[in-house]
Amino acid sequence: MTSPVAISAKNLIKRYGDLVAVDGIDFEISRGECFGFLGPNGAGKTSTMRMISCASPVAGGELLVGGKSVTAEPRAVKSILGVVSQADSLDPDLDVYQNLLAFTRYFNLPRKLAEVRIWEALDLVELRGKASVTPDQLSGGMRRRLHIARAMLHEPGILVLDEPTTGLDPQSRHMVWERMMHLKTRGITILLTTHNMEEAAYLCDRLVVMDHGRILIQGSPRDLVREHAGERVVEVRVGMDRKAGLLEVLEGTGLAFEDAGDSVSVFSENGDSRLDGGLLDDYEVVRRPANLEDVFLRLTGRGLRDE
Amino acid sequence: MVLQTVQRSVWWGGYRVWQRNRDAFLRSWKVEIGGIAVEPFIMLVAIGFGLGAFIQDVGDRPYAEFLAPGLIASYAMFHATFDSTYGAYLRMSTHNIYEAVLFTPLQPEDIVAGEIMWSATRAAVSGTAVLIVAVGFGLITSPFAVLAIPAAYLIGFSVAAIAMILTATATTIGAMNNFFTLFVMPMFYVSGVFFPLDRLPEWVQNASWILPLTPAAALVRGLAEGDLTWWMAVWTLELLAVALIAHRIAAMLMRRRLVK
Repeated sequence: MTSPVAISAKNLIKRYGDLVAVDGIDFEISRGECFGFLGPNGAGKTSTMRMISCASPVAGGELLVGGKSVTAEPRAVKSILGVVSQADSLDPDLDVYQNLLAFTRYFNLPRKLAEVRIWEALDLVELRGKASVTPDQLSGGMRRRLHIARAMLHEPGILVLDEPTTGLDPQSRHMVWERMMHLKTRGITILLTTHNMEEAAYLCDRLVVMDHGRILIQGSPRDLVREHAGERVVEVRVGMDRKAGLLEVLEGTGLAFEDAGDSVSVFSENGDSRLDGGLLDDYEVVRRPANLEDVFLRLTGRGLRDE
Repeated sequence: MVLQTVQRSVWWGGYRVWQRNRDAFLRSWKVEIGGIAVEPFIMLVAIGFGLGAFIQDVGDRPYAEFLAPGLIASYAMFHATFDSTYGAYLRMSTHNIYEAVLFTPLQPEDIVAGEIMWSATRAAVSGTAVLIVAVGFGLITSPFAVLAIPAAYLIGFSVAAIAMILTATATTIGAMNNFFTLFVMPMFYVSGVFFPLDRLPEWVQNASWILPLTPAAALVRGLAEGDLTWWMAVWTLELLAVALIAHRIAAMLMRRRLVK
């Protein structure tokens, strides 16, 4: 893994029967980078992660991980990956230490080294004191941290995390974020899928937004917000009776806006001064900096996605 | 050459899965000891001596002596199938353990190999337990009976490989019940465990030799009595063939299930 490219995909395709889950995407992830995959349910994020992890065959295109083809050398690829999938997969028949020990064996670590790594991993996620309890005695946050520890035992160059903080309380979420920042400083490449825009903005150096199996945009969170949502957003709270009038006024201004049901978000792409002046004086407004969620919703719409 | 390397690594990967199952068993064996030793003990006392008192000798031996080797083979079968049906299905489907293992260098074929190797080990443990009980009652007449332990391993391997075909294709845990009512229990009754096969209609006898428990029971009985024949080599090869073919099919089906 001396190449600066950790993962590269060219025209990558995934099909399930007639359904095209990933529709010819290209991306390149550099070593040491934290790279995010965002998108609504069914956008193709998890399919992409599963192909990278060799848990799902590639239907077309080329996918190289650490310079190796996932199709030709799955064992070699999997030996440099640490994967934390969405599903809880801790072993209830073993205690915490044995859970980790089993995984050191799957990676063929010698016993002595395995012991050292297990304690290091437990320290990393602050679970040393829980080594001899079974996973069902751990809280949700602890279980998630144990999944991360389990993925770190073989010192992977690339860590793949599929929604690592979904369902966690704020304390646990911040703990996981802090651990991930720590791993980044150690030079580990991190791939992340998430529905949490704050998480993506905080952790990712670069990210892509996917929908319907395609990549809509890619770049750094800051650049994407600036390009697609501007500096600031004015949220106008408006009842149905006055909405038509407001929308008509906004259409006349040429400003970008989005109808979000009981409110309308107006984007000020270049710090447009009209938003500060009289235009919206009659309405109840909230002014705030633009964020990644604005970008996400503008690109993928507000319709619900059922997988 | 390449094929050999792959084969070897499958069994090596399987050993890693076997180690996980062993660790889990060593945590829980005290709970399972009833099934391993107490139930065969009761079966031998109730059927072998209780019911056996009303049954004439089989050949030149008392009924309990006829029954004991059949029970060694049967309990090897039972405990191997419990583990590779209910046990494996829980690990795969409820606890997501297979998915987690697939994210390591191991492949679906390694998992199937490991589960079968472990079930075979359970069979050997159970076979040994019944053997000890039978020796305690003085029902074993030959030192060759010690070879019933590797025989139990082989029996376990064969039936576990068949069971893994079911596990790899099952959509609910209820599917396992059919396996027991339609395959395992009928086999238990018509494989020469409780009575000599020549009591059965000829077509049932012939069909019975295709089922793995019939050669298994005959093999263990021959060893327990020291009545060695060339047929035992044939029976061993039959069990081995069933084991390897079923393992291949199970591994293929498991890959289809897990990697998609």
